[in-house]
Amino acid sequence: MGTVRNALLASAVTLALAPALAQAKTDLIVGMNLEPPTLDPTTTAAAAVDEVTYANIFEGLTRINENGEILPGLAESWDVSDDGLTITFNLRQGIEFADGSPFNADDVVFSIGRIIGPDSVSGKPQLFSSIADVQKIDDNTVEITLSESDGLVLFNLGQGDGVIVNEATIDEIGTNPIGTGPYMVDERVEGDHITLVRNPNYRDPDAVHFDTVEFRFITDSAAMTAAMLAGDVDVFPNIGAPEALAAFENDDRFEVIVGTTEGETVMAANWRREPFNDPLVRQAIMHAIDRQGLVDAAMFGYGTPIGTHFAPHNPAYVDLTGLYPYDPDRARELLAEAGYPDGFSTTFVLPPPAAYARRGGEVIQAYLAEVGIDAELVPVEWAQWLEGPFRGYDYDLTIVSHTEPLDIGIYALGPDDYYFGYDNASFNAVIDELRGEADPSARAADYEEAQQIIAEDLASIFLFQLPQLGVRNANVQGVWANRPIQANDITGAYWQE
Amino acid sequence: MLSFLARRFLTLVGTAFAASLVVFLVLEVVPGDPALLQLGIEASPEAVERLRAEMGLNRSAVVRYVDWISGLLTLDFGRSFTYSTPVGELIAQRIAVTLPLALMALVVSTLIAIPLGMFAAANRNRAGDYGVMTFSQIGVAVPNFWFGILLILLFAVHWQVFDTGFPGWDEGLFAGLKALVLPAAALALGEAAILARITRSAVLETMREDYVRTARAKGLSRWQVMTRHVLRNALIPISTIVGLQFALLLAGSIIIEEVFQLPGLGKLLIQAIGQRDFQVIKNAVVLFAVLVVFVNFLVDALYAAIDPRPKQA
Repeated sequence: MGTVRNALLASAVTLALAPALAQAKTDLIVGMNLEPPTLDPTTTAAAAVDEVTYANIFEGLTRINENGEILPGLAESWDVSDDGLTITFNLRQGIEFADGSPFNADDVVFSIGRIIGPDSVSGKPQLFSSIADVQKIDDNTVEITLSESDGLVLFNLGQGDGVIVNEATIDEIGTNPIGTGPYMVDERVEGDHITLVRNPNYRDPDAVHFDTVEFRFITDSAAMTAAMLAGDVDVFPNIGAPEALAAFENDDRFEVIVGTTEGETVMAANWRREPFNDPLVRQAIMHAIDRQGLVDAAMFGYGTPIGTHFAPHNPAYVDLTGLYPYDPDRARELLAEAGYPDGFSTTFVLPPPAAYARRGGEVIQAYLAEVGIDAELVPVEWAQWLEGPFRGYDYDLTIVSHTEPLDIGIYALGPDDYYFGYDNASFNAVIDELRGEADPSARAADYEEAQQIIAEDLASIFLFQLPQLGVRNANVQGVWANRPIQANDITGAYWQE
Repeated sequence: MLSFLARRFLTLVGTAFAASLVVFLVLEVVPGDPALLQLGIEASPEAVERLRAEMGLNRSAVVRYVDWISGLLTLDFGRSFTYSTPVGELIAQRIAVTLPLALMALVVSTLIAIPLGMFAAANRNRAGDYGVMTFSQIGVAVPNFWFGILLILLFAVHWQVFDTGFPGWDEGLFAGLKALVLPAAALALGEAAILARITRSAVLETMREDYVRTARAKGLSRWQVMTRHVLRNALIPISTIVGLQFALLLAGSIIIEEVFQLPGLGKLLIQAIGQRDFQVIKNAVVLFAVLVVFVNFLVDALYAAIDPRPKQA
């Protein structure tokens, strides 16, 4: 009898304690490298804006999950017409914005209307260039008409650039954004942090795990590590500095996050300049670089070598790293054949990211020196990089990670509009075809062909896919490991003691 | 005294004007487009152009300079490119961190350095002197950002008696001041080391004066001589250095705020330079210049209090 009573008592105590333990922490502190300049994700291309606001504050018609899949968002379903030119969205009902005003078709018409057409305010209008019109059918139904069928439009509408905003509060969206997501802005201290609190009008209050979520901005990587170790920050989804991870790998209090990003790290070799316009020289450079060695040395082993401009985790990816493998002897032969038996001298412009660009640059310099190419490193700030290589096309070699999803089309922008200087009519034709193609298997075939062409041409010197590297407190669950779009969707995160 | 003040005021205005011209011209020639930088490499050229227009960057340099200066005269500093909030508010928010930090460092370094310097001078060429001089040598040699990282690792990470970052003054005076202790200590170390050396030599210099020997001869104790005669006279060179050090502490705060992630003026400036937020850079630089001139003015006024002689000169 006594044991039974004790057991009952014990379970009663456990029951009483359990919720207390589960709800031990109701706040979350998320560390970020960069601070958003504004809080309006629709008018800017700055990644940090989406990283604070996407899903947490604003939602789109569709929603992208951790694995890059398209899920229902504010639209609970949609129908695509047979010709692929009309998409009818059925909106969720009973949704309110954080200020209590109801969400309906008018908000969608307003939000989509301002990012399409010649007067688009979007920071990336190219994402929505296929949308010709948006019409309200009734309060809960919206129809989008496309000028040509577009296999990416549902994905793009699920990015931060396509979220649904509130017309009545649009003038202050940059500082006090009002969305339909589970959180709203409470406080913003420029240069330090942004605090979100629960949106009192959110449709599913029980699904919101935190009373406050603070995004804290820490630029310095030593300060970042210290803040994490001291327990002042709960999760750093994207720490950006692989060398910082060593401090957490063997510590039970932390979990290291290793995931995928859409960042293809490439070395652009200026097609407009000698000797990089010679295919033999390009091949020589590719043969000179050991991509795995580069990943090991510059990224502490994190990252996947690539042979073309496509994310390896994408089902349509083709592994073309074997096309021009690491072979310094072959590189020297090719250089001799191209008329540079003694190699040549050049310059290599390095933008700021310390891990992939600065350290990667030094490693590549060493590989190039092995085959007789003497590359002088020129470290620059972002502002200089954008002005010089990126917009002025003024560079011989440079390195950067292209982080937009599915951005292979940048090789079709032509020598007048993009810094690569690459121009190949048959590649452009494939990209054209892809634009109007909505059928997934046909798209995959086009993607494969496109990858093949730029890989053979060595449109860029393809290096490796940037990994997503972060750290979280071991008790924080539900944080995205991958980065299919620019976002820190913490709506699924929770504490588990 | 009035003409002294007037002259000082003119210096202040002249310096601020010169600083404004220099920083504006530098920003004109420095590469980097704030609009492109904010929007990123995937932004469309139209979006970049629209933002440039919004930032007022498509107007001529002369118009922009005149606009800025006339704004300054009415205390309108314009809006930050990065945050689209008024620069005046941003700077006010930030100076509430940087000024207390610099003052705290100044007080700490002075309180440590002057007694140490006097002690060393009083014990010249003995063990105590060597001890102080060794400390001072180390203090000068250790970079303050490195010392700062060390303090963080010990007090915030290992012992966890301090937090990293800054809670804000809303959390109370104590919490705010507590967050400034480690950074102020990191900033103060180097300055204290220099000041201790200066104090030592100034005190030694004064101790050789005839009036000191006279004071001793008429029967004052060593301690009385030290405080009444030696220190007071040695304070003139010391206060000059303290004034100069305030300028150094303001400059040093730029790095220390980055290390300790304090949302101060220095961190704002570094970030603004990276982002090419011209609005913030130009106003912050002019403010730094005005602060330094103003502190020098205070030091000059202090001379008059310590030593009546310069007034007649």
